[in-house]
Amino acid sequence: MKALRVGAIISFLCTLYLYPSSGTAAAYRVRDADNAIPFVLFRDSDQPNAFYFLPTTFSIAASQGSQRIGIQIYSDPKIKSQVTASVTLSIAAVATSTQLTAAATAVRQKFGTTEPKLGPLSRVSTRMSVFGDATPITPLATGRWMTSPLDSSQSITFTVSNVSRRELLRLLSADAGGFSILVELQAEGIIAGAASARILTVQLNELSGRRGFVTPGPDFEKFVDETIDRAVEGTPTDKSLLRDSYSSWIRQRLGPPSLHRLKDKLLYGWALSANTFKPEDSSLRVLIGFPHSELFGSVIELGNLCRSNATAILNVDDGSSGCDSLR
Amino acid sequence: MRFITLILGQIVIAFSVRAQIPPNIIDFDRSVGFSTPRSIIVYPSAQGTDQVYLIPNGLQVADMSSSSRAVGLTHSGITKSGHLVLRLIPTINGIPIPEIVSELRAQFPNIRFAYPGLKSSRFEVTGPGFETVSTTTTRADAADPIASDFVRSILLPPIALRALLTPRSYQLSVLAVSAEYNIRGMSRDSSGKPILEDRIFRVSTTVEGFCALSPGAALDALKGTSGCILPKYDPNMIRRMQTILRGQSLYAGRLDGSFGPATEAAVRGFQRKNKLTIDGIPSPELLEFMEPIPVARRP
Repeated sequence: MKALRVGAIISFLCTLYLYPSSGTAAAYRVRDADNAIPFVLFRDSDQPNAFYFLPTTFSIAASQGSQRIGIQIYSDPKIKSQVTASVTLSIAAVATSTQLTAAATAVRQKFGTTEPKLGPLSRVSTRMSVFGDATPITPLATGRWMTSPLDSSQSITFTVSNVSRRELLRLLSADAGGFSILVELQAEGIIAGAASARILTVQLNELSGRRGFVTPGPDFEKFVDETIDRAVEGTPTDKSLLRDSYSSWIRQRLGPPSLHRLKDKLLYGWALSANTFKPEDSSLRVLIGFPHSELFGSVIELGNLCRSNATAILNVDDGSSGCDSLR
Repeated sequence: MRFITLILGQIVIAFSVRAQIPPNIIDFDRSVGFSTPRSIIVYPSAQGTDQVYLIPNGLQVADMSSSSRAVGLTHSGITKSGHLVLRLIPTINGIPIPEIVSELRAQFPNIRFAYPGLKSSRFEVTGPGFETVSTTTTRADAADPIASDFVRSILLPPIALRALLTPRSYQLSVLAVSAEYNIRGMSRDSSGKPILEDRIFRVSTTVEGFCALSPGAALDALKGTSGCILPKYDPNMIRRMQTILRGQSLYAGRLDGSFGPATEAAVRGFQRKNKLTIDGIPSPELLEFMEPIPVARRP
């Protein structure tokens, strides 16, 4: 009875739809080899005319014609030669109604769907990180993972502290790479298949200790095959999908390969040991199927801010605008 | 650099705890969209009742010029700290949530609109001179601060205060403010069984300087004066402006090239008369606008 009631209410609400919203229905990623669709799209396997879009392009948000960014520059009263810059900005996904209409048209042509309904993917977590070219690995600022509506903007402040005026001028006037914002998006609830297994760390470390070293390519794939046979509990129903997911996980766990000297020979790959994997790794369950999530990224290059956003730059010491005070 | 798409999702840490689902709780796995009168997404109740929940997707700062007198900036000189009081408005697609609710209620009287109960909420502000992030965590009660406007007070460091009191700062972002809502709801595990899950929703916006547009909202408590810092402008430019403003009966003071409250008021009067942005800033562009067109340039 309860299920019927839920169904009746949802059906009633569905009659109000302009667009679908992601629910528990299985969805799979739409392949778009020719890039005709400017979003990552997911198609609802239960409702073939329902598509969920995930914008993967972001830019500085704007309101009433001006970009939401401000840069305050101020000097240390004790060391006048050094300055600090505080940058506050908002970013927003680029998903205009024109682009969505174009996407709907592309979907209609590509899939023969008569009335495709496009809606935002509702379960998306985002995180912002800011990088400067002087610190390409350590971010200047990193936000927390948050469930953020795709149709809203997100704001962040980052600071470049105690640098010379010349260095700050270089960062603010670089045409590319001065400051970059990485937006990570994690989309959840997307189904790709059906199989599950649990990693047995003891078995994995036993195998790692025995092999000692693996190189990218066939050697690594062989290692993955072996660990699936030995280190995964259960009998997966779809071994190829499990291998793909396990391969992704183990690459992330090991990090990027690097040069190692083994018996007077330089080798590019990963060093393994009997304690490479931690006990808590065994609590990981490899799930192929619901719930499943995918990580996407978008990079915003802030570019030459001295040129593009001169009025947004304020020297707090003297009230001047732009980058002239840094020259 | 192009970020390489990674597939991480098949690995899931089974951290959620299966539990009895309490009444009146949101269903995170489902959402439905309304097309009229507003295009918005809401979340149904986990119990499948005729109740739907609204979660903001935006945050706005109340207009300083029209909001309550409680909102504004009080300081005791630009080299010291100040207190900024902001009224923040949770929105959906830029519309305050109470407005959306009354519109939807009028059109769909059989649906009950509600706000999810908060486990906790958090307010955060960042900006120039903040060595550490200033945060306030409120206890979980009712639907505040989802359901309605909420007011937060921020202790500003001197640099942020100075930035906010610079006249031109209304053209740029100075602070980032955010509200986080920790909401407990229902989700489903891989086998479809319901589990309790806490999710943090975040909305944020930036705060621009406002003293040039709403001078009454910035008060120097020691001097008893309001408005921005008055910077030292080019005396020749100011003297020329004073002359023009006197010619238009907007200024009755001395032609001394000094930019004080009387000249500022005259500049505002000129901007008002000519339907320009009333910021009281005597820029070279404004002087160019004020200057009569030379005879040689007339068509």
